[in-house]
Amino acid sequence: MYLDPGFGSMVIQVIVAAIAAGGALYFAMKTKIKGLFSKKNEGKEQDVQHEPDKEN
Amino acid sequence: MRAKSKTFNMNQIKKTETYCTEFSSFRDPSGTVFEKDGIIYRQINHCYIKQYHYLMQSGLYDTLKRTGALVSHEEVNISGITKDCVLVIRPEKIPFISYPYEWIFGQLRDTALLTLSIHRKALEQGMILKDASAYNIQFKNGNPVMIDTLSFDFYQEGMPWVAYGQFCRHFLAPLLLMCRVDVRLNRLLSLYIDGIPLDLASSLLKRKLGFFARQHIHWHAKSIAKHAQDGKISRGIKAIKISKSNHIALIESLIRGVEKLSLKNVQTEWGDYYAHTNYSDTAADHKKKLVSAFLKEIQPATVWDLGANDGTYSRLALEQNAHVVSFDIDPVAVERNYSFVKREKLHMLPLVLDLTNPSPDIGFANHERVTIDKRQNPDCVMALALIHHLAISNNLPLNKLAAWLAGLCDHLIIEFVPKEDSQVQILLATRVDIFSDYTRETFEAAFNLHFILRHSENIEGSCRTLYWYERKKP
Repeated sequence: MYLDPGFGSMVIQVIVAAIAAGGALYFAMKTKIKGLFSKKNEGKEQDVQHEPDKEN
Repeated sequence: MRAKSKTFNMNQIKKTETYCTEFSSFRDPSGTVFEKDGIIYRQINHCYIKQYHYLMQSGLYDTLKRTGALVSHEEVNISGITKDCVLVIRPEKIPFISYPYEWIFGQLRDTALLTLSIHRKALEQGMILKDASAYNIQFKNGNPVMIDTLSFDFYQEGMPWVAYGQFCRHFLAPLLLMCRVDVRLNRLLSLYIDGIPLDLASSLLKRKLGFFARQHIHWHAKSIAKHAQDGKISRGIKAIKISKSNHIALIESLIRGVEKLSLKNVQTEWGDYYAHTNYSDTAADHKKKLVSAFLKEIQPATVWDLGANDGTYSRLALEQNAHVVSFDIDPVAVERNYSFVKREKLHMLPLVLDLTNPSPDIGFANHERVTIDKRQNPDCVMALALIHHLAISNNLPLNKLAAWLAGLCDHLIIEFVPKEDSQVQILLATRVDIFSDYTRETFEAAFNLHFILRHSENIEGSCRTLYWYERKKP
């Protein structure tokens, strides 16, 4: 490695990399939770469609 | 009497008459670029041979070559330029070497994304990019390609990206300055050969930051200033660790951040040039026919189109299988040209250049990155709808222009735009007409001094004349 990486650049890199990792985790969790809720809603809609059969 | 200036003696670094070290290839001890009998080679030194074999055997080289990300090469059986040489490779030829201060925003953004994607791919194979210099990337068939095959090194668990600081200086700082402050600020890269210092970028960006710029420019600059004297601490850089997953998250967030950067809709002086010129359809068609006919006779391998605007006429040279470098001062016009060239993968390179103040010689001994005429002598130069801008808007005498063009090329296709033309009338409308010498006769006399006239013809439906000149042999 011939380049001088710079101590200041390495220190800040630890911080911004942690922020990036945190951000990635947050968005991954958000997508997963949204996915769970939309599956639950699909499930409820299917139950509602079955109800008219009971009345008949 | 003018003092004789001392110039760097290039002969001091030549090995023999046929070998010549590339002057700018001296910082990285992994290898050296040299030229032998007109061909560029790269020698690999003893200290890098393990990394090179790993690059080739791991599949990383094949992957990057297949996607056009890394220049291809062949191993050759010639001796290197120093005793440390283990192996010599011959990389694929790049038609024209260009520098980041000649690139428009779109080109700089694409080279930044290429650098990040190569580093990301390398991490998957246990390697990293040990530097992130914009000079490691060139353009071929309209798309960026990495030319430094020796830029890879082994990834060690926990190691941070050693090239992060350089990446921010070479790519992020100019990109953010171009899209948040002024599109012309890429020229700062010619003042700062190792990228724009981050404290300077931070002060120019002021409050126009956003979270992306705040982290990688503003906080980064403060951290550099704070730790400037920390070389005295014994722990050093080895104490800094980043997990591989955090390292990857950083690269991916840099990729997303750069992808989101874009120029605001910048309207420059020449933005809609071809929509608002005084060419009728007849005149435009005839001009294209004439230029094509001249090019067919010349059969150039390399063409420069000066004042090319969006590259409309540059593309005529592609029909003769020439490689074309398409220069213009207007970054908006060059962006339009680049979008087209990139999409169609044309054998052409659009660049931004002010012909009245072109790229200087810069770097150590003013010889690391050189002027355009030191990089190539094109077979043919096209100077269409240009001469009046140089002669009238910039007060350049016709005889000086003729001498300059004669130093560039063997064949010249040039358009004379007389004073009665409406475009010249616009240029003269707000100034005193001091150009009594700007006439067809003076133009022809100036060019006949250096060139032989092969053909001239008036463009139908206009008062302009197209000339084909061939440089006189000495």
